Amino acid sequence: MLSLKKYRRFLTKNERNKIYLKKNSVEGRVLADSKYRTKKVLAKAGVGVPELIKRFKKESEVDNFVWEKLEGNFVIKPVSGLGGKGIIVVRKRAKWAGEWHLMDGSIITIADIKRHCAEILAGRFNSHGMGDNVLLEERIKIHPMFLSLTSWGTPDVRVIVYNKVPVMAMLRVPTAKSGGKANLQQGAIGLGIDLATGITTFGIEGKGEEINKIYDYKRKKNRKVNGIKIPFWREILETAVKCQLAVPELVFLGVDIVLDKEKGPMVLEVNARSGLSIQICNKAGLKARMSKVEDVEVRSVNHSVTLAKYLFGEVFFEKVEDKSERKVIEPLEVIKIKLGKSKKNFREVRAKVDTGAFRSSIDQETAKEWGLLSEDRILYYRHYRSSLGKHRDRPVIGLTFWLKGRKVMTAVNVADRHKLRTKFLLGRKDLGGFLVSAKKINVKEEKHEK
Amino acid sequence: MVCLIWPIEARADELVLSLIGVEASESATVEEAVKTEETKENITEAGSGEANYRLGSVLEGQEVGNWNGINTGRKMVRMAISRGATANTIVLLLLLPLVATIISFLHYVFGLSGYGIFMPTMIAVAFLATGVFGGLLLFALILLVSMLCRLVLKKLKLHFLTSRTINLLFISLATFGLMMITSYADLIDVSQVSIFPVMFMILLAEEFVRTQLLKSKDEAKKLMMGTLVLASLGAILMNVRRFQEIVLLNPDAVIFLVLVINLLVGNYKGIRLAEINRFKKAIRS
Repeated sequence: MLSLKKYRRFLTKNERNKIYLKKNSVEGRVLADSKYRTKKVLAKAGVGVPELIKRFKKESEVDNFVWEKLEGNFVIKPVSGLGGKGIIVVRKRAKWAGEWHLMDGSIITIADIKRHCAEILAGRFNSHGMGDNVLLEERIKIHPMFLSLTSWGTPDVRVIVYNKVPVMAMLRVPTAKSGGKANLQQGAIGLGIDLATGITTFGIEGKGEEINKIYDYKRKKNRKVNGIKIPFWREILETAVKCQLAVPELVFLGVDIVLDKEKGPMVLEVNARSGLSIQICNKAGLKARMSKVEDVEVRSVNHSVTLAKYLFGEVFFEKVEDKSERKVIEPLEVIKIKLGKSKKNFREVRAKVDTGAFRSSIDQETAKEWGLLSEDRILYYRHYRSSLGKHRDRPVIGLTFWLKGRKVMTAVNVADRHKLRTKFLLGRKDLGGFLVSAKKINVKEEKHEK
Repeated sequence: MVCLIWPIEARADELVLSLIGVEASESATVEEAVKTEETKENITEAGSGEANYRLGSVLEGQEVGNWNGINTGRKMVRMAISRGATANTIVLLLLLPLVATIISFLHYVFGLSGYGIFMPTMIAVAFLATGVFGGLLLFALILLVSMLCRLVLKKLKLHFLTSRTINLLFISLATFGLMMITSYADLIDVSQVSIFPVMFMILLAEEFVRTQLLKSKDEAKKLMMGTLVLASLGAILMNVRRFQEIVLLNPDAVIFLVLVINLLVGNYKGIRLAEINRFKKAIRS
């Protein structure tokens, strides 16, 4: 019998269309549909966008424009293009005036450009087949790390933001099959990204074919799809959150970000109906993640990125497991809790392992003493019902600690443990990859420590 | 088979029948006759005598009685017939939403998708007129011409609409050619080719080219195959005589069923069967 329980964490098409897309208002969708308006709104909010050189509304404007003066490094695209179609990227001036080299080295003339603009104006590349406008904008100088993964077009990072929190991200790499478009539907490669570190995890090609290797054009050999570090990761997440703050009409938002080697993250466009394949290359469910941040009230961009980091960060024990056998831990373990940015700034605390508890928890007094209850550490408040029937809201904080030398980034409950001997309780959520030994605790040692 | 490919005019058919009758034994004749009759009907033509007569007589066999609310549809059908409406058209009007219901059910619950809802329904009607096999043949021809045209026209760098017009010209010529060839081979009667199936298929071919441009080749292929499968299913279902008769006799039930199923499917938020396969890869072992 097929069990559907495992599939509940995924966002399915029906559910996306019926529930989450309904939260995106018509105004938001119209805005996302126009690259020109998006660009204006985002630039106003302080988000990096490619610089606009000119917008053409009529063919006469295209004819009157002095194309010859353009040195190169420009892009021509439709305002409401679909799936990256109709975009011409011009690299540099060719030998004669009025001729330029494209990215693949072929030559384009003014006549070609004008004809292309006419096609855009006639609405050939948008979904409704009606008239469109042409955008002439500055070309983004792609970050070398992205460039090494493809020789066709521009790889970008798609971040899905829900309720102002980044919930999932992937690196989209164009292929020969996708015709240089960073669109999974057209056959591009998608690599899942760990939100905490910006390191890639799994990969797919097209809408679902799993891949393990990706070709590195710089080193001229295949490399694993996992373990690729995306530069400017924190900035990328911040940019994505800022986009949603600038366009609050879109509650479920997909942001496409390209890295410029000088200017950092640049937003190409925002999407009102993001694809669902991102779940496959991350091997994670969007619905489960979105329900976690459903009721969270985001206080700032910083808070939002912290939430994403601690709630959705990957546990990298699989890699460690290959090298050594599973680590065995005792029922009582000493862990090191990270307090500040510096590597030396940590405290040691005795923790009790409790596989009956899901989340780990830390004593309120201790946490307060160590400054862990500061505003920027608290992810959200959670309503708890204790076994005595008392109701109270407890904070959940983001915490990084080392257990047997393994770094764990997680969300931890703050509880009143002042009457208990151990000020920290290790829940099973943070014990992945460890084996708990059930041997008797040495009573003598226990007394001694006391 | 021959009759499946193209609707054949009743007169020609009777001629064939009598020819068979001369040579074959009596029982075989009856069997043949039944078989031929099964396929020669074309309910997409309002004036098609055979289907109309059959459906009309079916209606006569049903007692409607006095109006009691839930037989409103039945009463209306009788009224329309008495005012000169043809039973064919009424059956088709009732069948269309039913076929659309099946298409939307397959889309939302199974994940079998075509180009929206109208395209598969329209092609289903086209297939009803041409026969499924004939329709597929005609569509294959139109698609082939479209793609060849695109290959050549791409080189000429014409304006978008002009290149589509030239494409249309060649589709027209090809359809004309097919008509002539099949008529010489005594496959069809040229006078019977209706323009509407051809138009619908041109629309489908256009949609295919457009999706290819806007989305991707794979997506376009998938949707086109989906459309053809859905349309074939719809056409086969609409062609079942028993089904036609049931629908004609119970218009009220049809309306009720269409509404109920669509309200249910319209609120379905669960996983589509095709998605299970897709998300299987996303489950960590």
